[in-house]
Amino acid sequence: MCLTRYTLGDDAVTPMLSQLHVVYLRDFLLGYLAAKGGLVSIEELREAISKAEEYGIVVAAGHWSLEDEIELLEHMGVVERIDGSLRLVWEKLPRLARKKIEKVSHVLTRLA
Amino acid sequence: MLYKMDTKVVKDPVYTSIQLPSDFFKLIDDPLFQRLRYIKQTGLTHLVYPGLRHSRFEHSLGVAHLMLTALEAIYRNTLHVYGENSRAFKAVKSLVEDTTLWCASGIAALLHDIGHLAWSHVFESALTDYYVIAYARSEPAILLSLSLVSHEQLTLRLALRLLAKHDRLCGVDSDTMIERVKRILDYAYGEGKPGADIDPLLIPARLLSGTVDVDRGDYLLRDSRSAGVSYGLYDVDRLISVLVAVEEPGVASKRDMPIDVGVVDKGVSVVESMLLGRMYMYSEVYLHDVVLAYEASASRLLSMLMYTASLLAEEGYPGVTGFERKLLECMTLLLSGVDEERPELDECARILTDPAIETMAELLAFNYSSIYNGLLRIEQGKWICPALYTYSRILTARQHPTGIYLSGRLANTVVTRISGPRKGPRPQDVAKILPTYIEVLHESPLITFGYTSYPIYSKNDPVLVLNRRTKRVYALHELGLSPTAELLSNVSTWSKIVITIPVDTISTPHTSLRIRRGKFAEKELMHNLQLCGYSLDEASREVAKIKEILGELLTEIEVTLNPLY
Repeated sequence: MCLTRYTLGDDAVTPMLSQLHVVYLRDFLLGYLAAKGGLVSIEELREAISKAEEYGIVVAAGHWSLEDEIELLEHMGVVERIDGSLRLVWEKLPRLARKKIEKVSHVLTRLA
Repeated sequence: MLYKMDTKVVKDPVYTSIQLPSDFFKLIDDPLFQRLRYIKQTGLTHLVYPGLRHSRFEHSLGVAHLMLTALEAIYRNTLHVYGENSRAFKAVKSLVEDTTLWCASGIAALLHDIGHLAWSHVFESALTDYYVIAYARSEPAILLSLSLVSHEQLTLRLALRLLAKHDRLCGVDSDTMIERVKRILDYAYGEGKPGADIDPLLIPARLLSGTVDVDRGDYLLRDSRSAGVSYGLYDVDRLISVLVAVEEPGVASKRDMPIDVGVVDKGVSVVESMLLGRMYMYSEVYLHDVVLAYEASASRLLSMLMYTASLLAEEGYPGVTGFERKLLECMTLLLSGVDEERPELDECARILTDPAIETMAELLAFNYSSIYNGLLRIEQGKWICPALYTYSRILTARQHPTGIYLSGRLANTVVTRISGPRKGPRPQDVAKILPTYIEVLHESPLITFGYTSYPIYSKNDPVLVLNRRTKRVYALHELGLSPTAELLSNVSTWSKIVITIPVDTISTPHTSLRIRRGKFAEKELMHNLQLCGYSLDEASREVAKIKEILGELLTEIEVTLNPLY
């Protein structure tokens, strides 16, 4: 599958369904934070998840909610909650996780 | 609809013949679907019920068959009860008479389990176990290496990938088919919520994940036959023949849905029979004490393999070669959810099935595995090694470990506190309720704690019964005609907790807990520890430590049970 799946032209985005990307919720959360420079409001994150499909990205969550993921990542010190926002603690990320998140954030750049 | 299409027939032990549209075989013949032949439907239950060795492959064909048969019955019954101008019948009519929607329903049923990995649900409990261990050892690297939490996520990923390989299915382009199938899977397992208008695709979604659904409809019969038990046998033809689409289901179910699937009033007895069958299959087969002990061991073996894969990936898999290296690479690739453009994704989905994992277990048990070379080169190798030896030997020699069990209402109390209304536990909840278990895991991966809950009857998702005369919809337990449902509705789920320990000389003063001695002997554990580089003294101390921390864990569980503490 290729990474570019949008019709060129105006701002209207028409994803080709046969080229959808399925991204797991945890990767989406971290990738979106990275794509937005490491700080984003939880509300914006929630909205990004709900509109991701318009951009050809399917967020697969399983039985974990966004709040479940944030709590766990917060406990591991990978994100920090600042008022209603989340900050990615980049220096806490191991090498391979950084590479993975960079790839996901590349996929999400258009959405962000 | 089937009579209009080119079809193929597959022989089947449950239904004699399964007839499906020829186009479905474009999907069935793909390696991504064929891999289901190599995943046993019921994980490790064959270690207790030797005949239970059928695969997700025949189950998936059976579910697709029941889905298409059920849609025809729903068409007939809905027309008969509501008439052709009703909203319910119009929805069913559009579903059955539109080839795209009808095919999408069958395909969603066919692919509903395509995301399962080796040993089916055992793999999912291994993922949970993996995250709990990562939490216990406070290792973000381990936590972030993988991100899959349930097979439904992988189902979506692989189903869309498989559908995208075919330009046309059932006469429509792949984009249209993908949109329809995805909508059904979303309604059934995801966050998909219907709008105010009736979406006909809600009907197949409810047939896949309702209380009376075609998934359970198939596995109860198939598993009963293979196991050689009669608990799950019920009259499937009768059940299918009483299904109907119901209008305004919210009055009875309190679910905000414009349409749902129920049964007509003459179908109460067959539904009761199915509900009871499901309850007994869980208590006697799926959650048999010894099955649970093996599944806990298999889950720990898998989670330790994932753990090893994550650690070694950081170092470039030093010392690990050939098949084993590929298997570890596949774990990180498939479970981490990126790199979709890589063709290895298909290969990895095929590799992570029962034969590869079982071969891996044999290699580990007989000390032939190059993974041990990798472990020698990393700091945590000595901590991981005894778990890989012990749990691989338990599985390959069929010597289950000693299990400590808690079931029924007391288990419900602990499980409710850990997971609340969620389907699976979160590491942070386990840590909150059983902090000692987190400490145990930090010390040694040789004790497992697991629990499972099975549905009895949910008042929040009741069986809907349509009175043919008044056209009113009732919840089965409120109908006044089903003593079984009224009884069952007093308990929504039933739980069982199992703790396994690879030592045989334990005693517990804890009155709520039941011990079932295993076949795995303590001297074997001592041997394994020494193989992993422990001296005799160190191995003895390790065994003594395991017994001590087990005692603390059991006390904590009793405290959780007793509100007076």
